[in-house]
Amino acid sequence: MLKCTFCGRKAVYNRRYAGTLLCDRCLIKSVERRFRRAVAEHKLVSPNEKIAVAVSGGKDSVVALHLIAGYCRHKNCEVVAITVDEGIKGYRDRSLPVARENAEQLGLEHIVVSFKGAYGVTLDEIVRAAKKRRSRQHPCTYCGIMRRSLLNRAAREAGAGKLATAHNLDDEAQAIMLNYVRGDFSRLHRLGPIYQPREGFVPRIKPFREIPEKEMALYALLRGLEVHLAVCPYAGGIHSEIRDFLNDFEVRHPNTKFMILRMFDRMKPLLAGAVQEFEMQSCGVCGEPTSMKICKACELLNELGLKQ
Amino acid sequence: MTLPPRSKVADLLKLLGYNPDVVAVRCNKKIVPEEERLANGDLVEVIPIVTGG
Repeated sequence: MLKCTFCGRKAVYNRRYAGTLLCDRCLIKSVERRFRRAVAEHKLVSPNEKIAVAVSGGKDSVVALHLIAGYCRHKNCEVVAITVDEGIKGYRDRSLPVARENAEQLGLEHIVVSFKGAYGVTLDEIVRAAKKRRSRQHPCTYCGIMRRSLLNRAAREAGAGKLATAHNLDDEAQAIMLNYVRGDFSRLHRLGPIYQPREGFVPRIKPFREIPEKEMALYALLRGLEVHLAVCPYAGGIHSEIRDFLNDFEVRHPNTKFMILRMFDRMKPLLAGAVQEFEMQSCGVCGEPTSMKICKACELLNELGLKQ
Repeated sequence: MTLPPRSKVADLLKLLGYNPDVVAVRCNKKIVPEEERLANGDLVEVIPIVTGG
């Protein structure tokens, strides 16, 4: 039997990047400690603030909801769960009840907003329209842009001071690499534990960006949380290629993902002066804040002839 | 599935083509690390954990 490096109990996880074995209790404690440390170190939550948590029903967001709700209970902060129903048949309709049940279990308000309600079309319909028009955009492009906009709108309307997402170490390392590969300087610069955008946007916080995806999953399994473990039918494209590359690299060279994150965090202050400031305005179609006349979500829908 | 004696969970994952970072493994209903040795008759469950887009 393999033993925990810290307490000698039966190990459940080999933390290869640190050269330690952890038992169930030490792994749970470690994940909770890292979450609390990130919140304290980056001042992610202010006293008496309302925190909106984006919850899909997947393992990361369910873990995030439970940990944030527990933390906020002690800090006198209100928590509201927000789920975006993109309209992905056979996928989101199965995870949505999981999100609802977790919110109910924690006694939290649960807001559900949908692409259909906000934009008049589901993601399935968008993907069909994009195929018909031979668009080169991947479904993740439409989904990511529209989901971010809708989450911001819902968090703002709920009166939240911060919007928490469950991005883990793997997500963050992938995002850094993706923006390098695409040469997307402005998106790269926005990454980090907290993003405080301009007026009209709710500041976004990522208290789990230093917790590997596997540790989030093990935390959910070990605590017996109800989660939806399924792969999005639209997963693929460059996001998946970068994810697979990083996972292969991490196996051969443990600590790669942390090193990518640490290096980026050290470089980030140096990037600040190189980002162009822009004037904020309201989207001419939906009224959401944007740097252009029409926001990116409406622009993409216009291109597909799916006007709101 | 038959494996050589003293095989580890990691050997099984390699054989099945899984990267250990994208799965959790239960052996006889208990979560185990990849370095855990397998014994005759063990019931192994591989749980895919990478679910995002």
